[in-house]
Amino acid sequence: MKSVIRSGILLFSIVAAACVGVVASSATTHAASGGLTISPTSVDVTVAPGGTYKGEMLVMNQGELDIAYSVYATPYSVTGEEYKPYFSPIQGATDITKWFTFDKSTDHSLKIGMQESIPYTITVPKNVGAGGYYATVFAETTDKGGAGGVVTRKRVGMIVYLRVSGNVKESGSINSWNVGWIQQAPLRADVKVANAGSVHFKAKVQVTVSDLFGSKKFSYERSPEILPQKLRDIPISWENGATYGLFKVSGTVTYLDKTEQLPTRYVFVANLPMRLLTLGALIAFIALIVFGSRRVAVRKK
Amino acid sequence: MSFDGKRGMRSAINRLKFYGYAAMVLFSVLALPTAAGAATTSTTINSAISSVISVFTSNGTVTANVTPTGSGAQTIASDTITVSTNDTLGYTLQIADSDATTTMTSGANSLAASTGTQASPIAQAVNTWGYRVDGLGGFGAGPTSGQSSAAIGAIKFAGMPANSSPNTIKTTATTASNDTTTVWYGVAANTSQPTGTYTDTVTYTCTAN
Repeated sequence: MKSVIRSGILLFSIVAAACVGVVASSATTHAASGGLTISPTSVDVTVAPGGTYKGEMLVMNQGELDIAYSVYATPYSVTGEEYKPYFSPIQGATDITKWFTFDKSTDHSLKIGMQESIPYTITVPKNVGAGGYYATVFAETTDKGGAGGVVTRKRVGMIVYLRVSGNVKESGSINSWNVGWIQQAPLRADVKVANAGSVHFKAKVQVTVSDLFGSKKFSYERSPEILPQKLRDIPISWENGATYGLFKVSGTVTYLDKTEQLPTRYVFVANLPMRLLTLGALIAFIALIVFGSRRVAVRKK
Repeated sequence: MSFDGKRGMRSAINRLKFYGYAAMVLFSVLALPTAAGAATTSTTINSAISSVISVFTSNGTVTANVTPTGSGAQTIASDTITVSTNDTLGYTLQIADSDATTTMTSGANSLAASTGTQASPIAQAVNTWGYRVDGLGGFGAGPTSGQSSAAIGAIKFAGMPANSSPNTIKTTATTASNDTTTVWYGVAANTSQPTGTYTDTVTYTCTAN
């Protein structure tokens, strides 16, 4: 009897361990074949002229293939209000990639499930003026072809927001706050924040969507970086939210130690058939009131 | 009382003492948690979750072999890019050639990039290669399907941009978990294209917003 129980426990343990193993492996590997993971996705550092900053970027192989990759720095800038990233040098702009040194060789390899820390040093020259400077540290796979076709390389970047301390100009403003009064789901809004200074800052955007009774239905909070002399469009979208109703949209933007209130807007969310139905119901209601009041007037006469 | 009687009595007393002490120790041990619990403390647990971003593809190399015909044959093959990030601002995924030369080459021979662009793609001309992403820019909704050395269809492709001017193929505004984007590659050739193993390298760039 005891041996039967023991065998049962052993069998259960094996099955449970196998299940845990399956769950664990499915959580850590990707269905795709090869690629890279990095952490963090950005760093915001302050260094004095002539000073240095030492940091680390973690590179992980969570794919299904061993990978070879290289690490390097590129310039970072953005174009447009949507902040399309750009990683090539810009004529006339300071190329800070020369300020980066990597403590290890720039060519690496990682076996499946392994990770590696990439130490780097940013050395700011003494004669550099105060302000914001930007770069991206990339980890890029070094896939090689051989059999023809299109060889695909993957690179993921950590954006470096570097503030060189000193007499910087900090200036920002809310450029616009747009919420259409009639929309289809998802409810969308956008706020544009401008930076007229010489260094980046974070703008904490908090937006709340509530019904007419004040019950909170959706809240949004993000803190994007606003680069100097740039305007950033911050889109807000209530994904999988209400498809019909009248809602109140309000919020605040906190930046450079001040908080600005966004004017409250009312939004009617409905798709076309519901809009027509609502319009029909409204017309019917008005007609009913007019008709009713006329009948009352006729009766009085 | 006899000597043996006295010894028995003392032994009984000692035993009683022993049990007494043992009971006291036991009581002290049992009471200890109560006494300790009486002085309450609170602990704050802090945990900083680091931001991560990953990019994976289904293919290290997308093979699009063509057996050309006089009027031209077209092969279409796909690559799926999978991105995950816990960055609440989302991510941007870009595509570009790995260098400034956007042709596929085989020794001294080359296969030109399509003259279409992401905003204005065109049906593929013979002896060109290109990419498309269904529903993006001017590509149209698709859906695109793979084919091998079939007649050149009307489906639109763009030429691969050089590394200095990448095209954005996806931008998101929130966290992503295994978010996929399928890129279709088309190669069209007629019999005037010299035989060879043509290749070029494309880079997918992924950064948090």
